[in-house]
Amino acid sequence: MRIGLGYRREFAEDLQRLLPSTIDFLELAPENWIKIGGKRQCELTNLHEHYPLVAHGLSLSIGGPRPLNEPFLQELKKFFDHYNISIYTEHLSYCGAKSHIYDLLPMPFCEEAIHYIASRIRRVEDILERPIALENISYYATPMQELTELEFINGILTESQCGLLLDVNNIYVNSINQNYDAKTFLKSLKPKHIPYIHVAGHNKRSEDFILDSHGSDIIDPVWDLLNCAYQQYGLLPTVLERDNNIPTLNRLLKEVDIIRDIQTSIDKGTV
Amino acid sequence: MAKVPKFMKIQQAFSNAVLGSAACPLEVDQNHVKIYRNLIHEGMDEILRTNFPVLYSLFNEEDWQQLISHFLQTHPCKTPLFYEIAEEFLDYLNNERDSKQDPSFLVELAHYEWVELALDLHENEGPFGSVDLFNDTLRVSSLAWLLQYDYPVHRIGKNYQPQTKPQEPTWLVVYRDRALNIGFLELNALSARLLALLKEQSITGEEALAIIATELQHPEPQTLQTFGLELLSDFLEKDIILAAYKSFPS
Repeated sequence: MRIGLGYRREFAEDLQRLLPSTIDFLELAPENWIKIGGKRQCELTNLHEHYPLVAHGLSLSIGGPRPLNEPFLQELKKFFDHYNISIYTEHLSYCGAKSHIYDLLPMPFCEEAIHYIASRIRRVEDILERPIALENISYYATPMQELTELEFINGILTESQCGLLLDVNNIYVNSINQNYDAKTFLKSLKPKHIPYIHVAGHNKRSEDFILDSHGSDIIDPVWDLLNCAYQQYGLLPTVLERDNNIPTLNRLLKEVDIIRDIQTSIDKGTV
Repeated sequence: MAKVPKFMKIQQAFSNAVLGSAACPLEVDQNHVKIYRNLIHEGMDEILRTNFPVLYSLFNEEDWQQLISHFLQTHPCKTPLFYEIAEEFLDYLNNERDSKQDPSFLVELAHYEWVELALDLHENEGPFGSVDLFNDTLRVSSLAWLLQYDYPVHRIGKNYQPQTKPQEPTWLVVYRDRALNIGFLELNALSARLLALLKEQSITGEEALAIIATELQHPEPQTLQTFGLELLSDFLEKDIILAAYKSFPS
């Protein structure tokens, strides 16, 4: 299980027709698939017959001030059991306070939030009976910086012992927007476990501002960072994400080929 | 009461700011707040535009954008599921929306558009076995929703926007058949009553038609039975009605 693709309904038909063997697994957002029937459930059953699935959630709000939504977690567990999903990843962020916000907001970087999140991670893992891994998100605002981003992420990883979904594109995006060195950041992370890596494209708005849109082809510095991640943390499974301006599946498969080439070159020790 | 940690107060303030309901009291660059505000607004715009295409078509762009902003600022969304945002929006229209400019059919139209979405994703129904329409106890499928509206919502669009409430209500049944396709049927007083009876009571088709004949004091119950049977056949063909669940012998 080395290369995964973030599933989008836009390329559903092509995927069903081609069933490309260069993809080893699919990643999907459970929030779009739990508790459903009808055509969409048929689509999921079909995917599940051909590919192993991993779940990448959007609405857990692990760092949010509202209590964990336990009925939702119970539904997630049922869903994971039914579709043999053993890997569940989410975001190190929160989805609003009083009202649920369908976006990923930047955590205040502080010690107190680390303890809070670590205890919530334990509760989530207890309910799901599965480990969870959290993604380093891209962010555009820093509402509180008692700690640096790196101290904050490492604090969570150490205290909770949860996995890290290493997103190399987000490191790149943040390195430009927050003005730090991407490779140094990458090498300073202290994950105990990385279930898989994320790569994606982004949208450059100006010299010093990038929007993490998942809407363009991946650029060379991000490929370079992926290479660097493999060297640092080993040849890990890697998921290609594309959520906007979705091209044909064939075009996406070209990026899958690039991931494979990088993995092969590392394997042969040619880098 | 436990003290709210400082970081949570920051989350509260930041969340309010990115929803656009308050200025950001924190030492955060306002341009950065704006980035989130735009992302959240654009995301919701796309979701509602896709879920309510007819409703969207009736607004001019400026009013539509104001609607999105007002929804984000006033309605406390709770669902973690993206396909249930449409339901949150219905709640908003029913409880928080207060605009004199809105056409009076707005809430009904939104409800009708939501029904299609909800039925499309609804958990499955069945089994669809053979049915004796006269003698079997019937039930209405959980995927056939009997709806009564003040306005003919199924006909409303850019070119048909009734200004006043028609005298007669509109009865519709929106359903999903075994091929998982969504359809709708416009009902009249008789067919609506027939479906309503089958929904409320555990009775056979014959019994339902007999009740209606009595209610109408129909001079020729036999004609009503024949006509009623045609209606029931049509409902059955569309998977609107099924044989009732058999109860176990006691």
